[in-house]
Amino acid sequence: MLSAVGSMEMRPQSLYLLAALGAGRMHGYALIQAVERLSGGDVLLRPGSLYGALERLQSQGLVAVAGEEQVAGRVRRYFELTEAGVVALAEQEARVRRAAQAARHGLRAHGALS
Amino acid sequence: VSGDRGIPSGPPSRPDHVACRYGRLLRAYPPVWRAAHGQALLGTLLEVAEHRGGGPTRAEAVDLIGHGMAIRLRLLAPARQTREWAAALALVAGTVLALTWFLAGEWLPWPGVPAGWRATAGHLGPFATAGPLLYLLWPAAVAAVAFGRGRLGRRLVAATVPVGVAIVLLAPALGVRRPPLVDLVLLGSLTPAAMLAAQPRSARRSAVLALATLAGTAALVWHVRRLEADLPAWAMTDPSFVFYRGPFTLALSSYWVEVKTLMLVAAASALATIRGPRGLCPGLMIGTAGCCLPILAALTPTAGPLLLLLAAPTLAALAAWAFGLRWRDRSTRPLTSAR
Repeated sequence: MLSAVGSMEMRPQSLYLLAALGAGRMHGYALIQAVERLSGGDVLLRPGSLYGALERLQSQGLVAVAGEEQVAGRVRRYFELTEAGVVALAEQEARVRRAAQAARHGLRAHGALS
Repeated sequence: VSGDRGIPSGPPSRPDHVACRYGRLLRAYPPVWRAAHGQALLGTLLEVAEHRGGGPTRAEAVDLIGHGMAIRLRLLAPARQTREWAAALALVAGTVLALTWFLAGEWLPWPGVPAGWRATAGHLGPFATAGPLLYLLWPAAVAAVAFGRGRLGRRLVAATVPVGVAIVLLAPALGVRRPPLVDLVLLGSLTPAAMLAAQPRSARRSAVLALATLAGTAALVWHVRRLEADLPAWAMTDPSFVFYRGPFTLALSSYWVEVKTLMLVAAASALATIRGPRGLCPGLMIGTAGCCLPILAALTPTAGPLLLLLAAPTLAALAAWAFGLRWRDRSTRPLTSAR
């Protein structure tokens, strides 16, 4: 059964954030780098947008704060996926895979893909 | 705490003024949000700046100011449950007042009313002023909402604004009387909240909405009628006293009745705040502030418009403050609740 969040189309930045956190807990700057790397440079998050997206994901119960530490006098806050986040990520993965299959089928029928 | 993913740690290489510049940009965020998340966001900003080299970029500034302003706007938005209750409250209160003014101020469909009053110059058909054009939109909105047509109800409430403005601006030019400005402004102050009204989630709630409107109207009309009966005989022979409760005499009395009604609404809100869902504070604030308008106008009738001008922003500020209190309860939770 689909979750309420998983049944909705997710913004690319949210999807990549969940995907990045799938590797484990991360702090803000590491997340910005991971999202850029995973998206091949398509999604470039700035800190303000990052915290906005994280706040939204946390209000949906998909992400949680996983502690803070002080590094060189700066606060690093860590985030991690919740169980609901893992479920939502799996559902989004299935959704994206179906879309990719449909695109592949269309291209193959058009003769653009062998 | 472990978990540094490829980020070198060490003493900051950026001078303090970079942190100060980011700190200034973070002022775009509301203080309550900065207290909860400001240091974490600043830490991320400084790490990004350190690895990129330089200070805040224009794109970063736009991003931070935009996000900060969005948070500030959200501060004014009440929670969904609060919004629904406040909207229902405003819709019922507005409709009770509109129906009462329609029946007891405009139409007077009962015996004992001097026959001559309907011939007063400036009347609109069987009604004393152009007020019914506005008043009847309110019960129509309640009916629409109660029957599950929330969007239509909201449109009808929204339509009261241009209709009210048109009555004020055009009625004198067309030779038709208009209702007292105090009444129009009081109804107008309930409009923003009532425009958020959604259809009740059950038939029982629809029935409660309709019954509350009818019972409130019946009680208020009964009170006004009782006041009319106490008027001296000379007043009943003067059309200006019968018509729309008279300029100040009956208005003063009936305003107090309206004040009592609004106080009851406010008390009900307070009770529901304690007993019911949290966040009915806005309803209480709106009801209480709404009471101030007729009190102020009744105490100094000649300064009425000026006082209304002063009272309207106060009303808006109180409501915004109450909404903000509600939001603050929610906003400090999300990014701080470490698992």
